[in-house]
Amino acid sequence: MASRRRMLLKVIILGDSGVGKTSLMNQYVNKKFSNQYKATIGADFLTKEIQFEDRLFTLQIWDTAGQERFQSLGVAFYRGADCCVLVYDVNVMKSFENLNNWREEFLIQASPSDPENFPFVVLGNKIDIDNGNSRVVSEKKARAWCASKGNIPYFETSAKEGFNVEAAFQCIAKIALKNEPEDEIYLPDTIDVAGNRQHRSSSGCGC
Amino acid sequence: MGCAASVPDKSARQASSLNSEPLAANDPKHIRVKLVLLGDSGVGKSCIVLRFVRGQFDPTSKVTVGASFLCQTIALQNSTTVKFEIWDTAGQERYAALAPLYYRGAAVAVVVYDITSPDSFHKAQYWVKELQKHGSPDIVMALVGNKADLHENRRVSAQEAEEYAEKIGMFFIETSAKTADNINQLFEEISKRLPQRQSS
Amino acid sequence: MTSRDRCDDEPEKGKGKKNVTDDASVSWRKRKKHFFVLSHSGKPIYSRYGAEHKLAGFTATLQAIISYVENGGDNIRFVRAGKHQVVFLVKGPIYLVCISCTEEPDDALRGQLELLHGQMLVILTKSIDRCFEKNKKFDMTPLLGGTEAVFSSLIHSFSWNPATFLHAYTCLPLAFSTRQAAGAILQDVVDSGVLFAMLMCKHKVVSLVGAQKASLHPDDMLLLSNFILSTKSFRTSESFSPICLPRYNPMAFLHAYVHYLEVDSYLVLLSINSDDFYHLKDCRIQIESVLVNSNVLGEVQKSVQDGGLHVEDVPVDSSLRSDSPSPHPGQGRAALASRIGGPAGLWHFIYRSINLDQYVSSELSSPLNSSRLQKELYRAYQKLYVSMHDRQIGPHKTQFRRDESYVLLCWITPDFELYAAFDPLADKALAIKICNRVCQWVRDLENEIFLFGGSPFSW
Repeated sequence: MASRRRMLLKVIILGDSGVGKTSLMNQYVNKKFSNQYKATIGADFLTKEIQFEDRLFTLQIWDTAGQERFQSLGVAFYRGADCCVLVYDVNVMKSFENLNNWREEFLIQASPSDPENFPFVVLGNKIDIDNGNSRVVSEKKARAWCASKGNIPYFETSAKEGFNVEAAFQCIAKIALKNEPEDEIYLPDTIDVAGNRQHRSSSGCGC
Repeated sequence: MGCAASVPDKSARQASSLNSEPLAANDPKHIRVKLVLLGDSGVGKSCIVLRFVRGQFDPTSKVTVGASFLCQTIALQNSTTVKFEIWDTAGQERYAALAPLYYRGAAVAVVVYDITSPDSFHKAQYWVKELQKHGSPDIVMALVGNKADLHENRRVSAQEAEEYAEKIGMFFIETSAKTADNINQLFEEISKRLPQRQSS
Repeated sequence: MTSRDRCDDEPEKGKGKKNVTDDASVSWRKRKKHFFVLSHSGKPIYSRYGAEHKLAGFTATLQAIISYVENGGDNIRFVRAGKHQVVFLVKGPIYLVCISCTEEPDDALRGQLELLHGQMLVILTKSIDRCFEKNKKFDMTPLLGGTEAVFSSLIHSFSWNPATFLHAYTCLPLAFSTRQAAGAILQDVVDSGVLFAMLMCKHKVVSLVGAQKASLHPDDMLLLSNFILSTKSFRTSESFSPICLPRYNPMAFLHAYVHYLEVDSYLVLLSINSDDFYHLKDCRIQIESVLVNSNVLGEVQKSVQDGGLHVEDVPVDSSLRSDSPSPHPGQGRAALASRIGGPAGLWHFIYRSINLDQYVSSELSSPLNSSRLQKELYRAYQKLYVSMHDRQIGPHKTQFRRDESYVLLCWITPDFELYAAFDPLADKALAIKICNRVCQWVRDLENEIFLFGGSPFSW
């Protein structure tokens, strides 16, 4: 039986710098990122609580410093991630082309147990810029790429339109719920009784 | 150091689970019963036991660790006495794997949930399945919806629980350890349902 | 590496509510000493203050700092930021962090993190590491359900219980014959197949017997007694619980029968057998009747009322009463000060027997009669302990320190360690003489204040 407890999800946000990761997150959590750690350790962190189907989730969001070139954040950084959000700018082709690199980088570093089915979400950001006239990556193209990578859920977002960000994170909760492992019962060892029995009988007195 | 004669001789005991020694004489008038309480943490298992054994209710929650052992004897109308040897188990997840240690060989299992918590009702169903799989085949099972005094916050209907209990073939009752409602009735009803001959 | 000094952070607006419990709240930031436990993926496991899940962003930061250094092929031990120290301890997949502005040495804080980790093992065993090996996302928090009081009690003991840094236990003072009577019945029980039998009064040992070859580490005793004392359900009725002793065997549970005999006196019987309950229960009944018949429990109560050693009772001859003229100007004041506290301005001492793994400390009394002063004294001792045991410098034989609060004296020999606090104006030569007297006094009383034969077959 699945337990009904609160779930804590580690969510890593990846994408080229300038695609708007931080402002999307700011909008989503209604709280300003301090940007205090990005320069030194490569990411900033925040907590968001959401509810999905009567279940409470705490999202632990790792907003990484996007790099023009990839700079490895290291194995330890991605360890135990529950989901990875890939962000690109629909107005910048390069940021879309790099999604593949970000995805692979993540899978190499995080080395999840089942890479084929590891939950990703893709966000195409800045759809409102210039009323969409400067857009260079079509929704169709983006969806096609997502489909080719094991049907990654795809959302289009903008700084003005918070709705889809919300939906994307609801989707993360939904995937996590679906993938929730069977409740494994914690089974620690007990001391080897057989090994000790011998000792016990030899120490007994003979009356 | 002399011989350990003052201490109970362990070798004379049967190596078994947490069962009391088999009854020395077949005394149908004095029945001894091993009873285990199972259920999610915070549903009030310890409160039920303390109400039954000591007539007390302590609203400050005291988390049980491992399991507590208490005894209480009740007299039935037919002048039979039933001595309950009660294992009040901890509801925390870390002890789930150790539960068989306490319910193995139990003649009675009382599975408790909180009527204000659907999650605890789910958990109760887990324990019922667990007992069906690994408990004694002739175990008497009771489903108890506790905190009945909090009916304003009720989120598990009596009907739903009743239907579930009926399907399983277990006895169902709602109790309140706080007001003492149905606590003695719970144990009396269990006594009536015990198989005539106790086996351990 | 940059790290911020929390107290210097500007208080955030609109967060003044008392119950705001995340890392943005002012009250949270003002705490002097934080403890955090997190998983190797940065998921929160335990926080002394604030709700764990609300601190998920903060624990992520801690993990990122640890992994940032780890990626560079190094390990982070501590970060100093203004008045604050951030001390890290990595225990396999479990990371422990202390953030403190108490000016305790980082080694002392690391020792506290070690105990915090040990306390988790008492509850879960080291098998927990396997859960992380199997599943890096593993969330350990639910397995610690209902143990909040155990950890807060342990953290509290860092400021009052010298056992937390001395790695030694202490006994309740008792007549030799009384302790022997208790030991004899515990020995009988151990001979019948019990691994350890302990009779305790709060955190003090009345008697303790272990099976052949089995020895109990003082840290395990500390963690076990903290676990029992902070869990109220043990007081309600007899209990049978899985418990791990990390120094004895970190991988496995033992089974503990726990029963309170009196308000603060309890019996712990540890067995390797999960089906031993009825045997242990019978043992307890036997032990209880012996203890009642020989009035051990009465003597225990009496000892609790009388208290332990008092500095006023340190025996001194007249030459040390400082009536004789002395060229040292401080001596007159020291003699004056001796009216409060013991001779020559002795306020307090701790004597640790190295062979016995036991310590005895004098009762805290005037002028150290507030909990704040006691806490300060223990921190001063702790500093002394760390500096005396610093491998890079030490081992020191003696240390004499004078500041505005006390004169502290530490003396280490192969047999014992003595820590003593005197009036800040105490005379050095006189203080050293008094320390000799204290050691002699403790040796004279050793049969009553220490447990001998704690290891089996030595008596």
